[in-house]
Amino acid sequence: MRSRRLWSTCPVTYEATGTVQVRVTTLLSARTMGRISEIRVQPGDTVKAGQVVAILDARDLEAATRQAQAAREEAQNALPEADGAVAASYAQLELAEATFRRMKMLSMRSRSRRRNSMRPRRGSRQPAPAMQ
Amino acid sequence: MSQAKRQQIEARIRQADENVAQAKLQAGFAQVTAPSPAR
Repeated sequence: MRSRRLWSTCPVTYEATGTVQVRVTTLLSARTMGRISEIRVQPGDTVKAGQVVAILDARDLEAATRQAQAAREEAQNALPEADGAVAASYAQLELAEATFRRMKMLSMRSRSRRRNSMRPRRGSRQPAPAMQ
Repeated sequence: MSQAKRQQIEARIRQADENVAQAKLQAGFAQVTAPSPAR
């Protein structure tokens, strides 16, 4: 009779405070540095592998892309000018070579004419020796 | 001289191409995805 009374006084439910801890934690990291501009999940949400959970502010990256593209365009635009300079250089080279060939030929002709003019002709008298 | 300048420009273009590709790649990484569950 006594033990029966004891059972009836025990509480069936009780309240307590505690901390809930997850069993598995994981570290999220981005492949590039940047400020987070948007978070697409809430605490407690279930996510699948590969699901986008946050978006980084890509303005700097996009600006860098535009800058790189502009640098490429600038370099590309400089090509025709360089091609023109190359063509002009070849033309100058050709002209210089032609001038050199012509000068060489004229020089050879002039030398040969001088040699011929100094050679005595047949039947012509030898110049008299100079008086002393 | 002019030929060397042209080669310099071509090198600049190649470098710029690499920079563009790198910048696009980086811009494509501007998000964080959930990893595979740890085993």
